[in-house]
Amino acid sequence: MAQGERPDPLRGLPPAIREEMRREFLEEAAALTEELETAVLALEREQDAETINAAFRAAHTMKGSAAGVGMFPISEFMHGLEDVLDAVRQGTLALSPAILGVLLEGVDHGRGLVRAVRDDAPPADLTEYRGRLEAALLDVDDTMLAGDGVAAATSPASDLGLHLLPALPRGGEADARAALADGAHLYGVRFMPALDTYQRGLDPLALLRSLAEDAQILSSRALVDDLPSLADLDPFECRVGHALVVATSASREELETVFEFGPEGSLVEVLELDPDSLEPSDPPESALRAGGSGWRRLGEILIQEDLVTEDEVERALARQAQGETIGDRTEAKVSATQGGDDRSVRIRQAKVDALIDLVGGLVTARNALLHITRLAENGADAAAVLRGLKETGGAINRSVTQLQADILGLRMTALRTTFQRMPRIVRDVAARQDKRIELETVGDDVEVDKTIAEGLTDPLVHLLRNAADHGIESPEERRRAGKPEVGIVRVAARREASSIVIEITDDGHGMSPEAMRRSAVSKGVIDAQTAASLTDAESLDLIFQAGFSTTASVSEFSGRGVGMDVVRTSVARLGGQVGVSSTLGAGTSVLLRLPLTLSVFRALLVRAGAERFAIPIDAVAETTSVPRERIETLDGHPVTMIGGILTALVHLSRAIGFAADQETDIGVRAAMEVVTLDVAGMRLGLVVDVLEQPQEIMVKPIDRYLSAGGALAGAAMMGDGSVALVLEPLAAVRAALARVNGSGTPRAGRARERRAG
Amino acid sequence: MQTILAVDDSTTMRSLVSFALRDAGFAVVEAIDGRDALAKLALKRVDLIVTDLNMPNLDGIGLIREVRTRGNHRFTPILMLTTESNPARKAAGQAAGATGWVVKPFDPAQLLKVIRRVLP
Repeated sequence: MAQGERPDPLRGLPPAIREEMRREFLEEAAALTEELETAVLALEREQDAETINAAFRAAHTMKGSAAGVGMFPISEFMHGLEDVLDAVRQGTLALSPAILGVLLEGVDHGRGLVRAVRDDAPPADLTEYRGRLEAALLDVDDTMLAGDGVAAATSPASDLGLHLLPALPRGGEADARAALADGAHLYGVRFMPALDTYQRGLDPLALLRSLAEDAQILSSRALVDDLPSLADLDPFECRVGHALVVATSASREELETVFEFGPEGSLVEVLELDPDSLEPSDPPESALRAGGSGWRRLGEILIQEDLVTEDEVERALARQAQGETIGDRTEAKVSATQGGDDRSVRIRQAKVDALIDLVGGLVTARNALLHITRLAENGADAAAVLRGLKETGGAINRSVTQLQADILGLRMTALRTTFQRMPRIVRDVAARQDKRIELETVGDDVEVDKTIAEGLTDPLVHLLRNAADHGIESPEERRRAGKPEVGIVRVAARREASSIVIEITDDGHGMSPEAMRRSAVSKGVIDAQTAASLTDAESLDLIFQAGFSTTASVSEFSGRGVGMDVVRTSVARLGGQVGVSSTLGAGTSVLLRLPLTLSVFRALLVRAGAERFAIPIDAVAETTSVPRERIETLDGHPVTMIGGILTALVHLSRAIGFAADQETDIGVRAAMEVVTLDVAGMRLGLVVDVLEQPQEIMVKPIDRYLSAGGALAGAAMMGDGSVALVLEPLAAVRAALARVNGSGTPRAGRARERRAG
Repeated sequence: MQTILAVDDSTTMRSLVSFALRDAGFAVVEAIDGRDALAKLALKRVDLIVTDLNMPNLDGIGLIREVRTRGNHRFTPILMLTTESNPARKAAGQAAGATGWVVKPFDPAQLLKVIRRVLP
């Protein structure tokens, strides 16, 4: 019925699209009636604001969508339901059982209307029902609505007058008369946007462009009287107005609607003009273009005002011609910023201030040095010069040491961000597995290098999931074991000297070394003979071997193929170590130890072949001078006992593929310097040519193709200006063991080492 | 090509708006509610936002307020889809910082006319 009275909003669309929109609505309507029904049923049990809102929203959305596709009977019907729900929502109508009944019946009718459209059947006659729906609204307590209605915002009355209207340009008069002859009207328009117009996303020029679609703009002028001086100009404030003379067949009201989005405080004035009142004249623009007396070039003004010389203007113009404009420079700067590594570090103001103080101290020390130099030149007493040098040297030393610490500190970040994700993870596991788990975190204020914090996130999340998922038992199991039903997972971070230690502990069922050994053998990780030789601690350590997992079922949370071996690898990549201890029945504890910072650390300097290498000291178990007679051969490879453990020996240059076997034949020397590395449970003796002192180095990254397959982490500049290559211990050991064993797996190296021992 | 974000929890209205806009040569990003819209605005710069008002999670008013108070869409035009029957909502939308409104139901031509009025 109503469809005939109102235009179909889809009328402009191709029939296929129209059909698709209607079909889409029918589907959505089915879902919405479902939602509405669920909400109304829920309201029968309990009336909370959220459910009332949900019901209202379903009716409201269905009303709007139905109208959108031109199904006005459905839209109007839903409007009735929406009104009732709106009154309930506003608190002006009590949700009685009777009204709930009417609403439920309405859901059925709404569904019926949708079905009728789909089946192309005539809609049911709902006159009687609508009467009851309207009756329900009679109970609405209107008094509560008083003052709630908001009057449409109206522009304040204009008192600007139209005296500022622009004059018509020459010839504009003829245009105006032609338009008028076609039946158009002539209007003067003034639009003064409110100051906050830009903040509302409104561009006054867009409005003018839109005006130009409906009207012929005969003349226009920008109203800039309100513009402050450049110094006081706030570019976010809109202070430019527009005055126009337009010809259009539209009515005054229609013209005003173009400006209806002008925010509150805008002034819009539209006045029909008498064409005879318009005196055409030369607008100021034409005077400008004619180069008349009133108009001068910027350079001329500046020269006349004695602000610049003629030469400077010429040079500026020449620069401009070369394209060196402010705009270009700004852009170059922006693209340079975007081009590079865009990782950034946020720094507290106090830290920056401290750095500035330190630099100030260094400047003072430099001046003191210059002063001492002059003293020495002027033949001052040698003892005095020396005393001055010592004092100044001491001051510089203190400043530089502090500067180094502070600048490294800029990269430090609290573990808080990393820890913040944890409660959610534990809650998810607990909810999914019907466990009761409490998470304790300690030390979220411990600071660590940003790179380490970032690299730590994944291993920590994995360990946490493991603890919650595999560690903590179900409440029944815990009860049977005489434990409290609530399991506890604890993550504690603390600082120890130059490392941080993070411990993830659970009070779950723990791990059995015997089960670990059995499992490792059955999975082929180690052979039975090796298994028998392992201590309990070593058995637990098997969990970090690739392809090992103690749980029979791979759970959604900690399974998924990412095992503890990945945790160990990630931690080792950060220069850290991970270990596990466990007591059957009492729980498991995983301990991570990481360096505080990555970019500066102590390294052992060695020479091998023509190169100088730096080996991170954390990876070095010991350094030994091994006499030739103590070297044995096993399977054709040199080995020796170091610290009571049979250790394979590889020349460093060969380990990272810098030299072939014969060049570094270690069997011919009387004694050799061996650096024993212990990384991620793997052990290797690196033979070097010269052993130097440990030193603090700062690592600079090197190109990937120079990294010897990942065995080199970077390069470090030494005090004497030479460069040392920095070893990446884990990758280097893996590469070396692969060469020794002729196989890429580190565990082969380990098994061989054990069997031989 | 200018990009418009269409926010509506109703799939029908979203399809209608998207179709009309794409047909007129705009790129369209769709969002199912205010929260989704904020997520998409964080990822992509759009030239205009057309949003329904009544939505779950974050409604249109909340969305407009968020967009206006932070982020790089502070000055982006926002049109709200309103029903004629609700001047109070319209006023609330304007107070939150909406640029303008389109009254539902509308046909594509009406929608595009209003959009051209505010599109930068």
